[in-house]
Amino acid sequence: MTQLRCSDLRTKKAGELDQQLNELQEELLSLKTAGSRNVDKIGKVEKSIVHVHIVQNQTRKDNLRSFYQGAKYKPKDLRPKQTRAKRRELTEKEASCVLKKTERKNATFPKRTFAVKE
Amino acid sequence: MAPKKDTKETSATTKTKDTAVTASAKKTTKPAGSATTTTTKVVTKERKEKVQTKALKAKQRVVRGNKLTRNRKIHLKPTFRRPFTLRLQRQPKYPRRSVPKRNRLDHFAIVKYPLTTESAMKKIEDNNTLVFIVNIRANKPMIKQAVKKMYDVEAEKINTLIRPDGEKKAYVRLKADHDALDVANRIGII
Repeated sequence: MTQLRCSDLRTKKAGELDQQLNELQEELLSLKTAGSRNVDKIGKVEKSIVHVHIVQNQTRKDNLRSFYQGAKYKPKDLRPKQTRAKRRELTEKEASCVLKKTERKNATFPKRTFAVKE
Repeated sequence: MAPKKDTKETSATTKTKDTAVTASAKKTTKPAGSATTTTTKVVTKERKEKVQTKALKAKQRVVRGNKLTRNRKIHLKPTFRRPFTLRLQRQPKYPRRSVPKRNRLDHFAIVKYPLTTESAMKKIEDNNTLVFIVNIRANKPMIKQAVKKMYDVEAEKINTLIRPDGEKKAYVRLKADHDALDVANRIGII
């Protein structure tokens, strides 16, 4: 049997993928029980199982992301990962917050630039 | 009673709210001339209601007395035990993980493959047992379940050992109504 490709698997529905997975796992078991191990085939089946899992997980994640799109509270693994420190930093808006007094000051007395005319 | 008379008159004529005037409306005792002049103190319906409720509340407070002295509990024992308080159930606004972790030790992962060595064959014939190489993290009840699901056989008992090469071997003795030889033929070990 040929190794399954992710691009082929993405066209299948969720139920079909579960079935496919079951079939592959049973095939793997039968290959392993055989006296003489067909290493080539076993490798192919194992990789196919991996591909099915990849496609399943990716589609599931994608669906969940679109489900939580725009939601106020998202599950933590759907939020931007960045780094721990960066997640705890002030947001751009929070950091640029300034007193009304300073705002007015900056507006009335902006930094002027002058050039000397030759 | 004079202020009340005043309000009845003026509310009939105008309904405009004059916040600067309402403050003094309560105190007016003399009707300010005719109802149509602009200097009349206007008291709105809302103001009237507010004043009435305020008066009612004051009356109630007088009747029930000021609760400055609270009812204190009498403790008859020297120990104080933490009282039972309300414990609410969790109602998370979002699941912490978007997808729950999948079980990596499923039946296919538990039973790796059956052994086909000479001693394993002997076990099949003589002791009605099948010998499997099993995931090292599987325990006997898990193995029993997995074998039942995968091969449709009931196990009477299971003995396990860990081989020197790190694999777990499980001797699965089948129930008397199963024949290990038949099952082995069916599985593919011969």
